[in-house]
Amino acid sequence: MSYQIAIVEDDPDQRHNYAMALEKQGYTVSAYADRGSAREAMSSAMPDLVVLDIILGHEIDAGFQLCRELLAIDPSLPVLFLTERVDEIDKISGLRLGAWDYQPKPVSLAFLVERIASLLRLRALRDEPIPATRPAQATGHLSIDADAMQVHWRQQLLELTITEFRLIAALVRRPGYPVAYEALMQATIQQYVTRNTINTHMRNIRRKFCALDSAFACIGNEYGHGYRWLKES
Amino acid sequence: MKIGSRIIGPRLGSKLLLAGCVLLLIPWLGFQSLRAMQQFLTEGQAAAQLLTASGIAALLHGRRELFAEQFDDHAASTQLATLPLYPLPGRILLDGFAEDWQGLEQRSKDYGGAPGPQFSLLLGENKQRLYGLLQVRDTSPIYRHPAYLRLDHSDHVRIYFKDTNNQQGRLLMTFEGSGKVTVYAVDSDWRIATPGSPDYRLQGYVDIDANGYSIEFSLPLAMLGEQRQLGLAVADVDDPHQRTVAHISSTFPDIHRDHYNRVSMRSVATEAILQGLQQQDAQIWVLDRALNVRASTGGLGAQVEDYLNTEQQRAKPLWQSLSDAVLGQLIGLTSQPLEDFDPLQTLRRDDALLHAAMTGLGGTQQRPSLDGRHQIIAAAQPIRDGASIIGVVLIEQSTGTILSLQRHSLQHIALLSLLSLSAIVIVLLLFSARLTWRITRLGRDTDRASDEWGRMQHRPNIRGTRAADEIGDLSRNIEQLLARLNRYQQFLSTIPRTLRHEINNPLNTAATSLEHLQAQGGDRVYVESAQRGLQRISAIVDNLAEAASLEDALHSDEISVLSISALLSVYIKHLRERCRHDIALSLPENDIWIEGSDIHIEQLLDKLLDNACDFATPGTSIAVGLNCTKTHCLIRIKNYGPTINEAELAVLFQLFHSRRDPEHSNSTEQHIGLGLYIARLICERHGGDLSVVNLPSADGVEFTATLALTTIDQE
Repeated sequence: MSYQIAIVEDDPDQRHNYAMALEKQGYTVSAYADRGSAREAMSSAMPDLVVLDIILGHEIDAGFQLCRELLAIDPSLPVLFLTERVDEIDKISGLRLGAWDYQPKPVSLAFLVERIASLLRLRALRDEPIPATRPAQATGHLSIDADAMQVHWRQQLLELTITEFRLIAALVRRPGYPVAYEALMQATIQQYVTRNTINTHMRNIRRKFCALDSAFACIGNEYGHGYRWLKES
Repeated sequence: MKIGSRIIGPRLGSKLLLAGCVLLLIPWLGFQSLRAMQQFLTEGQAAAQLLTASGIAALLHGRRELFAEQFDDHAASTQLATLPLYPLPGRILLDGFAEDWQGLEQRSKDYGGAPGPQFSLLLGENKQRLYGLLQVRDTSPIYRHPAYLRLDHSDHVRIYFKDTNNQQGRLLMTFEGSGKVTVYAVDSDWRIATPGSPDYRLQGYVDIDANGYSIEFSLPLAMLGEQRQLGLAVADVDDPHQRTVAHISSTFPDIHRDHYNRVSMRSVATEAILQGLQQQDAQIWVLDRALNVRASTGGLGAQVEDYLNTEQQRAKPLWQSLSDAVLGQLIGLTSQPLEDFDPLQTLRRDDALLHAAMTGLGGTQQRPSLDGRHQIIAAAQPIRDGASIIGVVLIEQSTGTILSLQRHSLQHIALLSLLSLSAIVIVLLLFSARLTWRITRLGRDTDRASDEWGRMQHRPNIRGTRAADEIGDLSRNIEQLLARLNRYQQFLSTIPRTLRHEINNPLNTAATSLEHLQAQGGDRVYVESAQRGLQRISAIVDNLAEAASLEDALHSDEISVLSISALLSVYIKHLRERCRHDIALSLPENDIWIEGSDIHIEQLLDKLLDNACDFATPGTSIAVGLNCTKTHCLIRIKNYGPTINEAELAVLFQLFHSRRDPEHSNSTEQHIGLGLYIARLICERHGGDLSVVNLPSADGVEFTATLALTTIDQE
């Protein structure tokens, strides 16, 4: 049975492009242009995953509101925000509402497909846990579960977005070696990434580690080059 | 950047002070009104004097007897010439010399003639004493011989007078050479001294020279009776052996009749009247028709001295002496004693006035005193007897009282003006200082509201907006203006972000469509070039948004203490791997610590070194140096290549300014004039600045980024 995916996007071209790309992957896609129609359709039949734009028509917070309403019906519903609102504050509000991921536009379709697949896999894992096919990779106090896309630091779960998870995974692949910006950019599998974007992600990741462990200092800058996972001393 | 550069000229305080000079008019006006007051007072004094003169004239009205030749019981006596008695300035030193008569000796009258002895006589009066100066021409005087008892055996002088009992009095002056004369009362034959001893009421002194002899003598006026008859005769003895009187010359024609000359002088009765009218600072004269002085009282000399007694004068402080000197210059007052006594001139100066009075017209005049240092007001009124005029009353008074009054007022005004002026000046100064301070503060606050690049501060702090006056209004206006500017700036700064939001949707549409196109096997070359184009648009929009919100981003960044030297060495190490130029790095031995955001320092180095690499002439090396001053560290990045022209230097760090020629830029890098602008912002955020100079050899440029050192001790 194919997954049911709902797309709420007011721009018809983008809506069409998303739908085409997802249908090509074998998903069943229903697309909506505004909050009202989406809300009405989805309250009768919940999809397996929702892709939401935040600004819908004249309603600038329609996406957030819809997310709140849908999660009230089904709290385990994976919600992926895909929006032109790229400010940090919007991202934080979206994730706080319970969204699983937040992607700024422009987005690559390949990345979107990949991301949706990951989210669905995560959902499946959550619904019926199966033993991990691959053991979690451990580096010092850090352990990375690639299947569950989960990171533990000193046995504590770190809440990371998928992009952040991928950046950590890329850094830890060869601990102690510098990883260039270019490699990190590729790891995000986003289309247009600048060094600033990487720096911002790294800063957020550091913050999350520091929230668990104030002595955390394993992510080191390689100025003019990139980053490096430092071995714990 | 200062708002408005300084223009040379007087500041507000100086201008206010200059305007305050108008206040100097106050003392001037006071002085002018004092002048008018002086005029008024002088006229008042003149009027008062005239009134007094009229009063005295009224008292003497019809008292013809006071002016007539007194007691003319014999008609003949009226024929006798009077002996004029001149008022004297002071005592006469009886020494036979005429100096102390002060030129009055020219007025002496000549008597006698050949074959009798010739002599001249001058009489004066001072303090109820009569003084005489007798000069006899006698080339061979015969002195008294002590062996002879008889007094008429030598040259001698006879004095005839009527005493208080109207009895005939006879006094004889004789001498034995220069020196004191001896005076005897004698018998009617002028031979033997009747009491036998000298009469000391009359004193005299004789001085003998080649022409003859001079006698100065003095006797109390009280000796003379009311009739004041006095005669004088000179007896000449020629033969030293015979010693008989050869000739006698006298002031009256017949020495054998007892009618003598009347001493023409103050009448006792008139003087008694005047005594009652005596005024401290005035001199009253009563003159008869011939303008002979009949009586006088008071004196001008004493009053000024009275006013400033010498004790006070000595104790006067310096400032008062100074003010006296200045005021004396201003109003003509002097503390010098008044000297107005000159018997020759006293009346002559008032001649016109006196003559007018004689014709029946009273009047006043103002004249300088004899010493020229004082002003004297003279008032004259005729004394009438029915239709005829029998005399004149003259009152002279100096204006010293008025002047001293005026001086007191002037001192008062000067002191008050000085006090009020200094008070006003101090208040003006304080007020202007306060105003200036407020305006300067407003200017400073306004200046601080924006940085040197014209960006508004988020919260401009304008002080003094609660004042109710115009400067308060101005402050409020400026505050509102700045708030509006701030809102507008915020609006402007949100434009790039809004633009990014808006452009991301079509960008996304295009990007996803391109992906479909690519998946459907579209021409790879075109799809890729379209994707590169989209990437550039995306980067431009991102850069714009970043530049606009960099301020916020910089402020929200985590600030940590970091070693700039370590950062720089890591950065250059990685740069050397990808840069085609040689990079020479010189670091100090010690670590240099700054406080800041490492990501942004990295960004700064990206911008500066990208720039250096792009402009460096191939084959040359780029020199990166780090050194530090007490408070800042300096990162110098030097490359050889094209220089920057002067006009460009000024605008190099401004938004949207690019050094690169369009053909010079490569397609993958974005150069829209943001790099150096962002670099400058980063430097400023780190308490420093960014500057650039062309190398002196004109074959390259050197950028210097200044960053503040950390204040936290690293030891």
